[in-house]
Amino acid sequence: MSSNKTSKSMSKSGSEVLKQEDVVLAVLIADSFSIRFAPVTDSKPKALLPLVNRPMIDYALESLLLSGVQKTFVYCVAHADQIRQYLKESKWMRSVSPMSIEVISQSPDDCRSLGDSLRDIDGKSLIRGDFILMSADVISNVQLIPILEEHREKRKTDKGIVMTHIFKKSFPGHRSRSAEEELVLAINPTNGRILNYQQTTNLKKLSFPLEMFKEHGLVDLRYDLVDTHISICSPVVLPLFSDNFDYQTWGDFVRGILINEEILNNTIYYHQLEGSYAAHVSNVPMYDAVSKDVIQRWAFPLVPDLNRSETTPRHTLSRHNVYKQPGVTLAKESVLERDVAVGENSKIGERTFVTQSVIGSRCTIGNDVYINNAYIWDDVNIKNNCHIEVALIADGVVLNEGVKIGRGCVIGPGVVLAAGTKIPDNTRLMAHPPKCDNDFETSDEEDDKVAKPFSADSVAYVYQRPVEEDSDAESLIDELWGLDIDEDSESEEDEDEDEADNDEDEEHEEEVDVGDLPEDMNARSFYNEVLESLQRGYEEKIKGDNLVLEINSSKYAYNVTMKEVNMLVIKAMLSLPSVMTKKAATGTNEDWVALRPILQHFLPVMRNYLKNNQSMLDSLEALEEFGVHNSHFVKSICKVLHFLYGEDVLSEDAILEWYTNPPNDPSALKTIRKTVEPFITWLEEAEEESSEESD
Amino acid sequence: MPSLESEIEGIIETFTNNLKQRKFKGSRDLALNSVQLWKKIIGQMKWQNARELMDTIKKIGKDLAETAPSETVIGNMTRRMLKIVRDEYAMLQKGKQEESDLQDSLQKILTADESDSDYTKNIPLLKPAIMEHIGEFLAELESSEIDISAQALEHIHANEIIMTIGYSKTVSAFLKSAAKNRVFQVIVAECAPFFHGHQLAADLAEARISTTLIPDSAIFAMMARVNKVIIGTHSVMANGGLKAVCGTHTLALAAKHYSVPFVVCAPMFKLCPEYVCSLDQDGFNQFVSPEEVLNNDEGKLVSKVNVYNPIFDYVPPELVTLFISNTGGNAPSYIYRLLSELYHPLDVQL
Repeated sequence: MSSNKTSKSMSKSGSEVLKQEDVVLAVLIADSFSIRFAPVTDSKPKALLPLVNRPMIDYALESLLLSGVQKTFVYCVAHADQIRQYLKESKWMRSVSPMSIEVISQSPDDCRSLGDSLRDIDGKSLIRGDFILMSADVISNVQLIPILEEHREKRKTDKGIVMTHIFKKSFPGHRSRSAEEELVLAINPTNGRILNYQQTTNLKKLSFPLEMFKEHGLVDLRYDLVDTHISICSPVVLPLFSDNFDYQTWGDFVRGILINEEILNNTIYYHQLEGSYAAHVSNVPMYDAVSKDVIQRWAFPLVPDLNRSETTPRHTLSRHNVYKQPGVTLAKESVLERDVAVGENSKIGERTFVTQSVIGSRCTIGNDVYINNAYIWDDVNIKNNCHIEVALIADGVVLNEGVKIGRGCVIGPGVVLAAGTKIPDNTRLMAHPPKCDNDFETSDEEDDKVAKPFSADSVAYVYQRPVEEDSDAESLIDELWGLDIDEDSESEEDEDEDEADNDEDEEHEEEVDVGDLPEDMNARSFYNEVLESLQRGYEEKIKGDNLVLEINSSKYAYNVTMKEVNMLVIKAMLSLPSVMTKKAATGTNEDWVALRPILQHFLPVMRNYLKNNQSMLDSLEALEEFGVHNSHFVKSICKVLHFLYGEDVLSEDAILEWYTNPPNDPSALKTIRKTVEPFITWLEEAEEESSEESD
Repeated sequence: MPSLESEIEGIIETFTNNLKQRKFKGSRDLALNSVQLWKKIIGQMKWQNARELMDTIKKIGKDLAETAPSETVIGNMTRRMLKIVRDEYAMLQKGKQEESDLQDSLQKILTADESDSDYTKNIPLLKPAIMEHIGEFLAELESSEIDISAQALEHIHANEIIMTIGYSKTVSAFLKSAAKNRVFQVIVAECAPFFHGHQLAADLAEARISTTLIPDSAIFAMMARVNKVIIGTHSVMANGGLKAVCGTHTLALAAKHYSVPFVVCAPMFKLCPEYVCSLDQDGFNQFVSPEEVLNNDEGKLVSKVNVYNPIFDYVPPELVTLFISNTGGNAPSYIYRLLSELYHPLDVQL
């Protein structure tokens, strides 16, 4: 639509007439697929959250525009209509804008990760050339075109280049290092290739493959890099995501590419920023850090006194980085100490002290208020004598006289707190009661719990984060905001819940001991995933082919060897009856009765994996191991062998070879080998007979 | 901005975008480009009379100035456009009467408001006249650098030692032009933290001028042997003070101490009718990323210190000896007179 106009004005301006294929494309993912900002993001997409009085997506679009990007696809998922509406009314979508923008939206049910969105974009086949991939919550002043050129230059020497990812150097202890995105990168310093990528949050030990050091004469291990969430991608990135539907995040992608490097010959390069700024607002502490960086002008020219649009006038800058939009009223003896931004038509009362904070538009702040390190959005009303330190206060909040907000709090939009309320540290509040559809707690209980800390006049409910797999790490990171190490009752409660959960999980696992599960975390997770797939597959009678596909994708996701796959699949099948009925094998005939239909159902799966002698031996080994660890199973082993032999899953030769080889575990000699002895002799006899016949 | 054709809006957008991307190299380039922008706008826009045209120019000009508040040149060019419109209108209105007389006497300046016509008459010849005038002005802009360097021989004498700071295209051309006939030495202060002085030193050395690069801290020590300081500036304020690259004030004070003449090369388009009432004045200075002063990767340090990186210095007029503009040499006290010739008093406040 507007591309005509752009090219016209470009050609008019003279020097650079651009060919169609040279149009610089960018894909902006306007969703972070996380709930780090909940409950604020319940009603507003993260991309539209204000950062120093400006929606985050504006920074991202501005930096793309300043880089000279000509066309941007904005991909939105959560609250897509709001983003679409915002962009429509903004200067970005005007026909005269030098960068044309196309909004693509997708419902959150169909798109749950970066991987899903890229697969969707691939499906729409919008992009044919190199493109810039960026998240809408990235604040950067990087000139991307030279990096794009560098990427193209590298392709001349390395045909397999799929991506150049941009990192920024920040030493440990830097405020813009996100605790949940700590990473270690192994790179080849001579050409900048990424050799290994590991996320190190909560890890004490790292292991690197020896081949990496053998292959490359020089390897740099870097811990001082921060992921900027900006990458230059070759067009092949999209089909790669489509082919591997287990790639969910950027990390999955990189790992996948590195694992398959020899086969597909794909390579990833890194680019380290020199002298420019880029940071990703991944969570609330990062929001704090990036806001400070913007206020202290690290992100220049993306600073409040140069950013403006038709609707929002620019801030004026006075010394000590105090920014004010027009119409700000400062009462006598009020102090804006340093690093403060105040939005349009806000009023600040007498003797109020503000430092290192952002105050949005149309806020009214009373007398004798203390505000330190707080982010206050639009239309907030703060009455006299309030005390706010290290907090995020969303749109339309009302704090009555003498409210004290603890450190690290997030107050959701529309919350009203009665006079004198004290909010403990690290609380997240929202204006409506939590939805209890997915919680087993009844709403009464919730209300009781919620109403307690606040007086009856408040409109506020405690937000509780749904328990996720990685909730430990997450809550730890959130707690770090503005706190040293401070335990409070709520986090303890959380921990209790988590522990209870863990206990349950452990019980599940203890019921069935499947034998030597490798220490390797990958194999263990692989096993769990396979077990899950099989259980579902059996319950829902899913076809064998689909299950094989599912197991294969897990195999690539966790990078396990073929031998492990064979063994673990067999083990998973054998343990299925006890997992499903939640009781251990009894050692009676019932076991076999339960197991038989399962094996029957999974015959196609087994046939797929047990194709040659070696795989059969693996499976027999697994069978044996399983037997060693589940003594009750021994009784059924003979029947299992007979069944599998009868169904042509295991060949005679394999069974005999297995039998002649000494077992790994000597205890198996007595038990398992003994039980199978009659079956083996029967086999041998049958063989002799058949050979005689043939003679 | 109501009722602006999208074509014009597109031109403006391209200009502001280039401005934001810092595609203009130096203030002369910016001045040239903004005048070309005005030429396009005035040429393509539909307007009935001069009043309407001037209102639109003011509106667009204000908007442009907001985009880059510290670039005074944009505002200056807007004022020049208004002045051209006024002059041409008056000329066509009153016949061949010489308009510049109007501002000669104090009385006429004071009564300018009353005598000012309302510019509402529709004069068909106005547009071509304005376009022609803008064309002349463009030519003047283009030759400003050459006009200044043509005066070099009057100011630089044989075997003199000249000191300068940072990088200025005008100064570079000025010195090179003098070097064609005279032998002299140049000392360049490097101008940390941007180190633009390095570039100038390299340029001059290439032109076979004997050049010495010194750190900013050595300015005072070296001043004793210097015959003349010649610098460029970002803009000249209404009182004859300078808005120049950070470090210039130091240089000016040192020159004053040793009574070394302090000469400023400033083409006329850098003359700005605004006063400096406070160093905190909005839009006077520009603070860029502190990256050059402190690396952002410095771990814990970044959150513990506040680093400022201003670009400009203010040099009061009493420290300046002489301005060399494309029309000749002027003392700082004469700037007000030049300004009244360049801009109409009613346009000072856009």
